[in-house]
Amino acid sequence: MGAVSAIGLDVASNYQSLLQRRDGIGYTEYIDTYHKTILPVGEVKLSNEQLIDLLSLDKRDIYSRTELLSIKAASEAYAQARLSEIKDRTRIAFISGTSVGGMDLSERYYKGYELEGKRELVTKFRKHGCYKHTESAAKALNVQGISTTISTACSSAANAIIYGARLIDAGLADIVIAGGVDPLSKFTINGFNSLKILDTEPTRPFDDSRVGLNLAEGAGYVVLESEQSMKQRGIEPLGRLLGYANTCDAYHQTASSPEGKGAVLAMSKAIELAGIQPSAVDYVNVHGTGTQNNDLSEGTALKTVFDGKVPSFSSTKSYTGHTLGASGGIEAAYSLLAINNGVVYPNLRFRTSIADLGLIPQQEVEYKTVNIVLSNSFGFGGNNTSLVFGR
Amino acid sequence: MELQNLYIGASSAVSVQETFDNPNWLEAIRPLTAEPMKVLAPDYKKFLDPTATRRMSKVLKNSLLTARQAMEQQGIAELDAVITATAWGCQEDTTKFLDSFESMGEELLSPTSFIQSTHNTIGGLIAMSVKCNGYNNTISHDFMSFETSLLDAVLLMKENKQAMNCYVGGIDELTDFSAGIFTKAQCFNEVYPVAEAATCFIVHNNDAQKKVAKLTNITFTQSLDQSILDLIQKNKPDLILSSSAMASDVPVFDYRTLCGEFSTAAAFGLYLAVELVTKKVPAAISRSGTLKKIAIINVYPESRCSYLEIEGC
Repeated sequence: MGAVSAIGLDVASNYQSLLQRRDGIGYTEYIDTYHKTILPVGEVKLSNEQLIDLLSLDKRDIYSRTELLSIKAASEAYAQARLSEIKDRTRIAFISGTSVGGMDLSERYYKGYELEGKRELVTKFRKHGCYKHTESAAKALNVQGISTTISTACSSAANAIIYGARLIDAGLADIVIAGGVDPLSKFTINGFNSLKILDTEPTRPFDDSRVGLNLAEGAGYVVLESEQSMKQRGIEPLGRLLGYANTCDAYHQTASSPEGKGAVLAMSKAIELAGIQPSAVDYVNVHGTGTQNNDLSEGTALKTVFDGKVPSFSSTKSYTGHTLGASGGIEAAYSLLAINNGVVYPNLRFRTSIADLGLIPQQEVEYKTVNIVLSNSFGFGGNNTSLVFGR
Repeated sequence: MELQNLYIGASSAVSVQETFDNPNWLEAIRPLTAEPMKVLAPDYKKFLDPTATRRMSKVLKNSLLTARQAMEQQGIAELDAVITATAWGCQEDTTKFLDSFESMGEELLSPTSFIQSTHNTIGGLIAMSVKCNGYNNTISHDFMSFETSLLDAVLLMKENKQAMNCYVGGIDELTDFSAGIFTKAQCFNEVYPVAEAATCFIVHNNDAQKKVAKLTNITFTQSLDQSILDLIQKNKPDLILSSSAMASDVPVFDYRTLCGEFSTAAAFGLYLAVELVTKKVPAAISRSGTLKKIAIINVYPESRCSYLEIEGC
């Protein structure tokens, strides 16, 4: 697995931050926006130049931040899974999710197209599409199997993981690097701000006083591999993807239904595919954006799915902020860490239960046996996805 | 990958040809112009509630319309899955939102264009319009968006053994702004004008249901290699629809001479293939008169090679 977020540049440092209750919420250093001293964000603490240096990329080329974050996290997952030893590169697939792709470049250059020279323009333009980071990362890692890009807003990475699992099931790949990425951009900061769902303070998911989310950036990938391929290579798995489900709330373009219909369906179907009872779930890494609407709807759905007996749950977005299309990938890594280390993470800044729910999230770092984790990623357009990870 | 028991039950397209709501469009093919081409806009008022669609961009209206028409042809009122391919997403709303904060500053912005700018707006809207709580995915991978979306539908149906009706759409929108950039940046082959379309299919696995074609093969490779040539040799399609030159005995027709050039043009290629196995074939496309098996093969500079194959029922 690989992760880069506001709380760490790799999985190990993300994990340390989670244990030490160290959040990554602060003001942007790299984005020139009116809101830079008003709206705190979860920014990865490396400039593009530093990322280019760190990844030893050609300095003469132009990169979107999306590409850089993606290559950073995917390379970490690649190295841990020892994918350099795979001879038939066409058996490795790369599936990535993103909401806005190279939007950081689009917003910087789109006004200037008229003025640019043609060659420059082609290069920049080609980098804007959602797909570009996927192809760049696949090329950087010499991955030659199927590659594609999912764009279902905040559930993009989770859906990429489902796509990857199906490729392996169908025998179209042995190994899939799957996850997602999103950069901070003026476009998304202003977009979410126009919806009035950004908090001017660090976010308080599942708290009665919550007012909104903190927008963030990052990338997260896991390496999925068939059992047979793992056995042949003598690789020990970090966990098993037991179940998954992608459903649609079909209620509103940006809001969740009050009863969390899509969320209930996603969680229950994923649990059903996993072949377990809801009571077997030890920890839920909730979507928990910290908006009024999401947490109430997701909380209601949790009570429905678990019949009132909701297991330990927390929103790690209280640490990282909401990394949009990357969140399902980053939180997949957190879920696997929870299983492997026997630990559940606190939901920072929680004080009072949401009046209508009475749900209390995990408040302290707690070491206990974690066999099964449910991870939720819900997005705009009613795109709801749940993943079930097991030991 | 060879496929069994997978069908295309219905299709619909709004394109630069008179494809929408017109079964005879092949008999009156419109020549392409040298300039960027927008779709022939249907009479929206005739099909859509004007108040409900007032704030919708053209791409959203076209997507809704084609989805509805395909469902009508299939004779279904519900969908089990919605899979949308779009390389450029909702261009009009994206540009509108970029423009709004560039020109009016970053305060007091209206969220409408932002809400409608995300790639999955289309799939979300279709799901909402037919209350589909099932699988919903959006794929945006440049030229390979449509083919990998079709693969998504195939994999979904392989996994869910029960009967399913799956919407698979290939949608791209051209705006004056994007047309300017595409032309300037020479993003596309200059032989054809840059264009747009909203094309969709109902893909299902129910032998008892209405079907217009069988989906018989979907294969991806790194390049137009020997394995693809072997596949052609083995399966012997009557016609290849392709955007690339092909070293093969099978006649090749470049479908972009009908639809223009855009990233999800392969969806139009499949749409044309379905038309050709179900209707009288114009001599301009093939002299065979009737066609039974058609392969759609595309080779893309950055994103590899795809092979799709259908057979008439």
